[in-house]
Amino acid sequence: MLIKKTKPVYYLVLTYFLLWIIFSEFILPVNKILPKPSIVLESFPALWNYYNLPSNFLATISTIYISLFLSYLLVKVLSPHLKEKDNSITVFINSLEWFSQYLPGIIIGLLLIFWFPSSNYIEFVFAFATAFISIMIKFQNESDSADEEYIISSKSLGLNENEITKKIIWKNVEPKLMEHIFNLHLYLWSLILIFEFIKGSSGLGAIFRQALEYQDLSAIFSVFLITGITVFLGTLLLKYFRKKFVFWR
Amino acid sequence: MNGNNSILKLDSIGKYYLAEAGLKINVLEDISFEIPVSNEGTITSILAPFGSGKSTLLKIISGVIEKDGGQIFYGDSQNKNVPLIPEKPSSFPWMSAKQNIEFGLSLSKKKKYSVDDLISLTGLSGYSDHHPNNKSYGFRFRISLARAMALNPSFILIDDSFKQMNNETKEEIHQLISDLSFSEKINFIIATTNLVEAIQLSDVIFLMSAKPGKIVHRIETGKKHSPELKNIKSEKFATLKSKIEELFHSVYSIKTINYSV
Repeated sequence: MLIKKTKPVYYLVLTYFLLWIIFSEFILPVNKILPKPSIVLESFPALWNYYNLPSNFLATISTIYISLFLSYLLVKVLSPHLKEKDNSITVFINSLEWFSQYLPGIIIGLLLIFWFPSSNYIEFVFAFATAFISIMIKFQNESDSADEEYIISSKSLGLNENEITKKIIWKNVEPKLMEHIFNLHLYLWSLILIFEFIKGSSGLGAIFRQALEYQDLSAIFSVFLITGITVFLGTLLLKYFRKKFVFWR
Repeated sequence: MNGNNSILKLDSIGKYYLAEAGLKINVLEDISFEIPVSNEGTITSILAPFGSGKSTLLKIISGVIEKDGGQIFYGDSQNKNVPLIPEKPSSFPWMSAKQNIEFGLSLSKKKKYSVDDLISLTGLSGYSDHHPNNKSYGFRFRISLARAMALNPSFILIDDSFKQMNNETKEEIHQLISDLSFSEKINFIIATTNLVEAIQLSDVIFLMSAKPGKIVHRIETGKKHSPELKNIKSEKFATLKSKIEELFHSVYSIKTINYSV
């Protein structure tokens, strides 16, 4: 019988949790570093009622995952145009990417918050622009090094440039794009949490800010756990998509 | 000049690249040859060492790149896109064997075979749902060949695809090509660096010089009437091999051809 081995890292993470529960709950006195697990559990209803967890949680995950999904889809649809580096759209977007090489993305986010302090959509625009530019640049770079044999045989079969980009080059670079999305996913989480923290109006970042203002360690810890578990599940989901749809990598 | 009596006729084909400082480097010069219409499928080899422009010539014939001079006549075929199987196997790894073939059929203007016909003809029966990723070169080649046949072209171009295969697979694929040429009357043009392979497979061999690439000799092997040419120990094989070697030595001062089987 084939037994699937659990990675040692999972055992280690489980050990950390057990150590936290044992030390914080039964050995250590109440402190400002690690809250008691029972207090963290008790803080969940408060998160629900006072910190408005459901809508803030939804705001963050919808911003991150919808912007990731839409960006990927849009780059796919526009791939024949985006592959050409000398058309006006790509020249404009590449110029924005030039700034991002020297300016941390969050500085652009700060400016957006300053310009549109009461907009509900600016967070999504920021996340979408970041994801789109990042995926587009990755696609451009990878399409330059797409496997030549596929392009040669496709041309000889009579496919035109647009069809080759859509049907062959896109598929050829898709595994590398998926790898890129793994990193982008984590980067986007960090960026959006900071954005929400600064803006302070909605999202998990806004809960962190509020809990920090109230010196509510158990709420901070609870949101930390929720964020960690969500990112973990998000990564598992992306891995599932990769296995299901990009199996040829 | 026209190509009415040929499936392919090349007339003074030239190709150059611009090097630094605008220096013109001729890759192909005055390439002219003809493959006549025949009731049987023919296998033609273009035999030349590495870097002589064989791949460039096949890409020009298939319409992948533009020529810089001369004319190409594709017989009575209106389709100027001729399927080319490149050096590395080109079956798409995101599609199963069957989907690769269906993709070829979807591009075909004059379908002759069904998916099942092509699967059976290329020896892929039982593997139609397999994906080519992480599979052998032989398997991937068979898929590329079936996809090329789906277009029902006048001829199929093969660019030195056998050198990545082990001897056993290579023999199987050689046999497959010979069988398809005989039974389905498919014409093949194969670029190769391997003299033994060229003799065993071809009805006609064109010797090509390098820098610039030029056709220097045309040799009819008479393979159809001399099946013993497939046996490298036969006298006929040895005679033809030494004749071609002599011709080659008259073109190249050094021995550059790969004689391995």
